[in-house]
Amino acid sequence: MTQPDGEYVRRAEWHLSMVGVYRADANLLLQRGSLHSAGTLLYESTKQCLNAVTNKRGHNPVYTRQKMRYLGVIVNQRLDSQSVLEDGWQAALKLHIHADRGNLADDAFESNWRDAQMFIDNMLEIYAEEES
Amino acid sequence: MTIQTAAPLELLQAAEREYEVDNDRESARLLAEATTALFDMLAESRGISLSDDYSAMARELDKRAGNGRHHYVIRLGAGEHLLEHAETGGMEDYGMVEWLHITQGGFIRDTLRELGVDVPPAPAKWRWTYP
Repeated sequence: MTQPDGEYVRRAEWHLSMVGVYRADANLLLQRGSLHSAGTLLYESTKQCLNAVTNKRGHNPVYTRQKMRYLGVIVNQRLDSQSVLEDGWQAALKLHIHADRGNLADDAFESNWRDAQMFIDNMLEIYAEEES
Repeated sequence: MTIQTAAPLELLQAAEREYEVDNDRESARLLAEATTALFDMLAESRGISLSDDYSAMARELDKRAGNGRHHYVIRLGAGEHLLEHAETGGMEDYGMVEWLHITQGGFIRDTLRELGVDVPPAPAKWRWTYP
């Protein structure tokens, strides 16, 4: 794999910081009971994970569809995490849709929240491995 | 209830043919059908009573997996999103159509293989490549 240039590295580091910022804000909003806003921010955090890892690899996907394709490539390379990553992204998408439609029951929101959090944890591990 | 064990694979392959010609709403409908047919197979193989309550079935499958994950609940939900796309095209709004096809197709393939079904490789359009 070729080394990404400085611009990509700077973008990767910015996106990595935003993973934490959005996640922390999402957790705060969850504590306040603002579920729609919390879900939206957790979805943003998952997207920032993808932005961070892909920029670390020298790519900068702009559109969500592009990000999903890059995620597919990451999944293919991480078969040990395939199910967690695929389900976690699906869960994050559901939180995003819930923010538009309010369609998730409480227990469904809770399970999607947990799976999206697992996605973020896995992506942060992948990012850390890219650095070593 | 008698289970048609070949049904999920046949439905998946029918979905692949429709997706190949960009008929993604019909392929989504077929994938959604393949998903519930697969859940019938899973339930039968694990000794879970068959019913129309697929949510309860998915929760029971996750409970038995015992890893704190919601894998089957999420995959059942993906099938519901596919059905919604078939009926309204609404998932295009979220850029999810390709994602749902490839990941749900993969889930169906992997699960069928776990159940001992001989499943041919996925067509090229059902595999991730760099954009």
